[in-house]
Amino acid sequence: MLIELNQIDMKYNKGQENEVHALKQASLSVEQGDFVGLVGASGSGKTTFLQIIGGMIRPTGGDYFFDGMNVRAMKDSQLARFRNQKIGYVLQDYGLLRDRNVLENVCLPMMFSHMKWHDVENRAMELLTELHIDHLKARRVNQLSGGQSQLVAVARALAMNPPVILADEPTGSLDSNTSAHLMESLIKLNNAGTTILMVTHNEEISRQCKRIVRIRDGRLLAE
Amino acid sequence: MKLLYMLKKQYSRFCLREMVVVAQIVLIVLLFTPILSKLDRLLSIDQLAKNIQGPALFFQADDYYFMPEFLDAQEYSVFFDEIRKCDAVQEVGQTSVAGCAINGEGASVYFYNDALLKHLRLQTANYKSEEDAIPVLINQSLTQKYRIGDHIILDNGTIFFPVSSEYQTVQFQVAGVLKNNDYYYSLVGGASRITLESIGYRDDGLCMIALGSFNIVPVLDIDPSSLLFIETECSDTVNQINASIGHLGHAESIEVMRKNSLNNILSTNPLPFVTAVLMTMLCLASVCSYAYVSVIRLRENFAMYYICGLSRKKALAIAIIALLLLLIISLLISLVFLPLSVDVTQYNGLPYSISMIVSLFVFAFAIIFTQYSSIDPIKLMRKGD
Repeated sequence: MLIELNQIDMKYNKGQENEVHALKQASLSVEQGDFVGLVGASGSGKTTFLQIIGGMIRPTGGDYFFDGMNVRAMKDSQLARFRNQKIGYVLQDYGLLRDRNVLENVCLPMMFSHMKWHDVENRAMELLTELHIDHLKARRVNQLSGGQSQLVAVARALAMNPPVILADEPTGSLDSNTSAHLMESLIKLNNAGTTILMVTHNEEISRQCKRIVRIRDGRLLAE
Repeated sequence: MKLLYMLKKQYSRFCLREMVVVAQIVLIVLLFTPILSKLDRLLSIDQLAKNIQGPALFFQADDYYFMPEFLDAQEYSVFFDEIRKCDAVQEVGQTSVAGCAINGEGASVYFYNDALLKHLRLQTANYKSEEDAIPVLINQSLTQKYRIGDHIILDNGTIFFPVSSEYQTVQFQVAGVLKNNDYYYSLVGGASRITLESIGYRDDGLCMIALGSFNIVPVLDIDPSSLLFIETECSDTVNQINASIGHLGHAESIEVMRKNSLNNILSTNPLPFVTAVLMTMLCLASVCSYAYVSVIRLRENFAMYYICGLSRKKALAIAIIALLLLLIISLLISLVFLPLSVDVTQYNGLPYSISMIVSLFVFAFAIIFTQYSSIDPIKLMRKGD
């Protein structure tokens, strides 16, 4: 099992008056090569769930194992390495850095690895070519369309060749044609062996996933 | 290479903001350094006073008039070499005979302070330049009864300084400073003894010696002051001494002198000081706002760094190193231009300049640290739930 989450609990502002219980006893197992769609209404806890899987926040309860490693017990530096090497993250708003061009954005995760400078650039170019956006490499991100921006974000997520891609509403800011194109790219990646977990509230998009996990009020519902 | 790239990305696109900050720091260092230099001199005088322990004796010998009468050239040289070995001896050099008038009455001055020549207008042999001027002990007993070589006794590194015919040993300590006292150089005054006794003479021995003047802040032309020594056993306070001096002058404690000297700097020529202080405030505000704006400008970058696998500590380290580089560059440029601001051969206030820049850095660091610590990368990028 690649990802195993048992009885995950997440409370924001724990112990305070404004405590929010975002996730309640959430359990999920994901095999390598899965394409899981996390579907739920706004505020249901799906993004929180994705962030826990991505090692960006620590759950307040439960266990999380990634490929046998206890993620919850990791130190900050180990967690940072985990995010760098095991997880690729695609955001709804792309999360591209405006002070850098396309190539530099794709290079970003590799900057935090031990890769050599020369290899970093080569790998970034390889990804841009794969996604047919190599002609945009010198563009600043504010000169890109929504679809192009999201493809750059996907390229960045793939930079370290992570086993898992987490996509948080990746089509949320795209029109239907561009969404379809992006989904094609994600499915292609999945077919190549990359595990993908995608948050969406779009039923049509979610139907293209191999598995659909529904989440409501912080609880995972039966598939 | 990657670190350099990340550092470069911490700065604004054309580094304009950074250039402004560097220029401000350089300017403030150049403006503030002369003031710091003056303060340093002031503190060094204070330190000098604190360091003088035991028999404190500053004097010049007269090789033209007195010494040859008692010693040949070689003996004279050996004699002063011995004196120089004494811990308490600050300086040894030449002196001269002079005459002056106090309240219209003639007085002989055998040991005088060269530095005061221009103030005293003494009739003296003109064989010394002002550059050679050094403090000298002025002692009424010496001029009246004793001469160097007669009764100054050297024993095992200690000077015994007889002030009476009984060869009484006297120890001196720093009590304060004499200020604006036109008469203190005339403690020897034979005919004017009545007016001078209250300052320099007590029945049971010498109680007070006025030393030569020094300029606390020469550039700003502070009034010359003299260290005031009193006998260790003397119970007179500065207030009592003032009462006895009367209209002739004014004595004040070292603490008051220090405080007043600062006031003098301000009252004599406040512009550089005020400007420097204003510039410091401006510079502090500028550096702090630069640090703050940098964090605001780069917080999305910070969030993405975190998501892409950089720990908070490392992200903070990059920001700190980038700021540190700016401050180091500022310091280096300041050092290059420092000769424009002060005479670097005389200047020993470098620690002040460095500590000022370090203080700026500490403030900026605190802002960066607190601001970055308050950033929640997830919250910043969280658009969903």
